[in-house]
Amino acid sequence: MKNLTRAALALAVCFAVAGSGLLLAGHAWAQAPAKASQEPAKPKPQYKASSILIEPVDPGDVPMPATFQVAIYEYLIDQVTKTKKFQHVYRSGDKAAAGASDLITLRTRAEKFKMGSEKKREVTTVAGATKIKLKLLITDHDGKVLADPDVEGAVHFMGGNLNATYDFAKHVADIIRDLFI
Amino acid sequence: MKTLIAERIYSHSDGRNQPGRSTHWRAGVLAVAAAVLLVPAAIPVFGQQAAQPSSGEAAQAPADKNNATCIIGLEHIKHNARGKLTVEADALQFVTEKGTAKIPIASIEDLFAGKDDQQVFHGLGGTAIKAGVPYEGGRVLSLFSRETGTLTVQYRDSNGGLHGAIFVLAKGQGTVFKRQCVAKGAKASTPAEEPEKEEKKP
Repeated sequence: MKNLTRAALALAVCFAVAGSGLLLAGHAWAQAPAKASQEPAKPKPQYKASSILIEPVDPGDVPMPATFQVAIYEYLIDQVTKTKKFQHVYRSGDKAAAGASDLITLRTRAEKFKMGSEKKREVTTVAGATKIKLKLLITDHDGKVLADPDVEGAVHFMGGNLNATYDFAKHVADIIRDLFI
Repeated sequence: MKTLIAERIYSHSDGRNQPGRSTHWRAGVLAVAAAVLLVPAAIPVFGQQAAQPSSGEAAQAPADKNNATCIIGLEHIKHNARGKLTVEADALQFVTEKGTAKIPIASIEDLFAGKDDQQVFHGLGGTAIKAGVPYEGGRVLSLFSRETGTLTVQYRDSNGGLHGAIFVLAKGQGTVFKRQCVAKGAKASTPAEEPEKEEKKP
């Protein structure tokens, strides 16, 4: 009888130790990603500038229609202005930009273009997407590259093909928000 | 089959057959079926009516009512605004209910005429109609689209800043407007193509 009681006690202690160990491990595992999410993995550089010059799209070798190039340029000006990070957003060729001391220049070069079909998109849901991919180049007044990410824009379901250019401009505006104070 | 089921339901619920109600039910089913058959038949006619001003003489002389949508690119004009696009003596003019925008012909650096497709049921209203059709039936409505023309204008403002305006017009109108602007002295990197004419079969 005594042996049985001792064995039961030992088993209970074992279970308690194992249970608490599992609890601690689970707690530690749960805490780790929370800490990681609180601290940004890489501190992003924060630049400050009062004005930005936006250049038209360089199509390069990509057969991008002029309508898309113009839409990208116009939506970029629209969306960058909406970020309210700059006092002046200059268009390409604007004479007033020459006098700006801390002028940032934003250039785009086409890398990929795939024309879709609105009809296909709406009928099938999975086919007919219009996709664009451009290299974004943001340089300061001295020509130093501040950022050069590849940015994509797409329209997968609703809307016309030109909505891909709007999507692209929205992504660029997000980058501008992250990059500039 | 459905009417038989309906009759059975009526006979169960009331304890007796009600021929009057089943007749109403049949009439309802027939009306719905007729509507389903007639709506797709009417849609192409609707699309053709909208596309008619684009061809022939109507394309040469824009109508008095709104003939274009400015997608983007004009100062003080909202995106996707409907209005009347005309070529005046010295400017390309776009008039909406809320304002007027002029692009001086001399400031135009390049012109591009293109074509695109537009859904017959487009915009907020069209999306609502499609969403309202049960059993994903709105996808059938998405099959109906019409060809449209586009006119892209690159021009400079008084400060030298580059602008780009995009207009969506009826089929073939983009080329017509491009030719008119080029005739008045606007620059264009590519020659204006002849408007596409429908081939008449013998």
